[in-house]
Amino acid sequence: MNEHQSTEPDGDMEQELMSLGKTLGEKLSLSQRVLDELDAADDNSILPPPAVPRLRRPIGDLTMFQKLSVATLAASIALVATLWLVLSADSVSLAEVVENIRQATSYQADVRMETRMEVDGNKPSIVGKYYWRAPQDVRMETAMGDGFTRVEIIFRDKAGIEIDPRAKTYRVAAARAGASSPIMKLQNLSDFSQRAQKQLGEKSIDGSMCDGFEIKTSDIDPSAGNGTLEVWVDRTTQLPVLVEMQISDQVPTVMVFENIVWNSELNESLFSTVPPKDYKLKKPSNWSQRTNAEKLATMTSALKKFAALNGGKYPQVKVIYGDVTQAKMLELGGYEGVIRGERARENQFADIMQSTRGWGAMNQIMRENATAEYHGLEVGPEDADKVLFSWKEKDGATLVIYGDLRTAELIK
Amino acid sequence: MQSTEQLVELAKGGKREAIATLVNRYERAAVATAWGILGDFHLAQDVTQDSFVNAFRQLSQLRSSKTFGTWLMTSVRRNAVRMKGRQQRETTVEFPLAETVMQPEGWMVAFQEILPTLVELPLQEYEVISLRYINGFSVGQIAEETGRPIGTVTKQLSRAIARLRDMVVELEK
Repeated sequence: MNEHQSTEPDGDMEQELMSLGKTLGEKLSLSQRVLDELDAADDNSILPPPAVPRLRRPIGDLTMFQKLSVATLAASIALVATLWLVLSADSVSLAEVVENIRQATSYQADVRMETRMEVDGNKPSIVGKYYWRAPQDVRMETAMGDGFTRVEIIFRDKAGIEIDPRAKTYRVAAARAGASSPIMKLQNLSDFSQRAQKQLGEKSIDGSMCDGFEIKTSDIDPSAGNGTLEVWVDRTTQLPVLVEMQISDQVPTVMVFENIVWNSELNESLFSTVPPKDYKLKKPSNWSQRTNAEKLATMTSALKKFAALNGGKYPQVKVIYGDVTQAKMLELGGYEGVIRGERARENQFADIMQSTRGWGAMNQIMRENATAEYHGLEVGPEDADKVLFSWKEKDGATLVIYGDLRTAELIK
Repeated sequence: MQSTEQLVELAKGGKREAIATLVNRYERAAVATAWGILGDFHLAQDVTQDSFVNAFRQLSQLRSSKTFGTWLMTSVRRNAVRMKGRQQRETTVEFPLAETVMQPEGWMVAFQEILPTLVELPLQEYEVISLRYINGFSVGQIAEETGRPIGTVTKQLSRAIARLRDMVVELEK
């Protein structure tokens, strides 16, 4: 934290800058990192030996930030996953639970996501509120600090909205018409046949006796990375009341849904896409204005680098998730924990970070475009004539990446 | 409160508390500078960290302890520009920040919008505005830090804000 005191600025711009500076100050804590680096220097260091052993920072905040930022996606996964889970559990009245969930018209929950490990003395976290109503409407509120709450309203079949109250801007959120994790699809519940790995017994939550279950997330969706899902079902209502999703790849993180309220009447205004008065439409990002050729180049570059690290195989998943694929690349590249200093300057590390752009682009296409298909499980670099990734644009053109990473734009 | 000059002298003697205090004192403006140039918060932190480390390792080369802040900021800017050049050689495609996996928090979005404009200010104006509003220094502290009269700092601040407003208006057209 900065030690200086100063008088309050007068103008809007000055106040905004001051506010941003203050928030930045709250997010930064470089002093220990600098001291660690100086301690690590074996020559010319101005420092005497440290009085206490150096603490190894356990995780990299870059990846942590990405984990936190996928909260909306993960939030959707976690709760809907419970639907599948209770189908698989043996010791509750399955038929009743399943029927209750199938008939649910809405739920709302408090959500928090935090690391299990400290980053520079803190455990980064986010908190928010999540609303869902049938068939697939979502509202996610995320606390931004300083009393502001970011709002995202997302629909499957029409455009939603993202509202940033601090900047007083909004953005149109594309419909999520494309592929998503199987655990997000209610209609596919009957396809699953797995069983919960562990019965967690019973415990009282807010005075209600609940049964708990645990399962590996990779058994639900192999594309979704490592982790476990813990679900507690109220014996009386036969509905989940607490869900914890542990993500255990490079950045151990937990996402908790609690205070879940089922079937309450959600005010229509919660899903309104009318921007608040005086809010400005945010300019589209540079990325959205890229040509198809540029987007394809970004994706093929990422795929090429991944295959080089992975013995000639592209990501072995059905759905590309940016953070999951990046974590896999870091693992393949031998990067663990905090990546700083010389290692952060390695070309390979830069390649992996740059590749995330490609994964992000593929994920965006897959989640927004129902025609998108990825065939990394079956298609490799030797398959020159097989389609690795393709999707159809609104204008009818089909964009294709073949196994050998040739690309094509096929006009109907 | 110890002056920057006092802290630098203590840092030269290896006092860890003095180093930590100096980092705390300048990290906001330093990260903002690198962020504005690089467009990446995390990379900006790494560049800033390296700049601090190099600064402390070369502290004996600093002619006047009073000017540590400006010396550091110059170094951060130079290192960020170098890093940017290296990045551009490696890739010409921008990351789809807000639309895909790396949706930044709201405060970061707000910062990312203003920073590129901020770093376009003339160097002296950027210096005073970042110290004043991002670092939270008083005008008196900036005057001491930069060796400029208080009146000059005040004028530079006013000019910087006016210029910044013009630049933002121009961008929004």
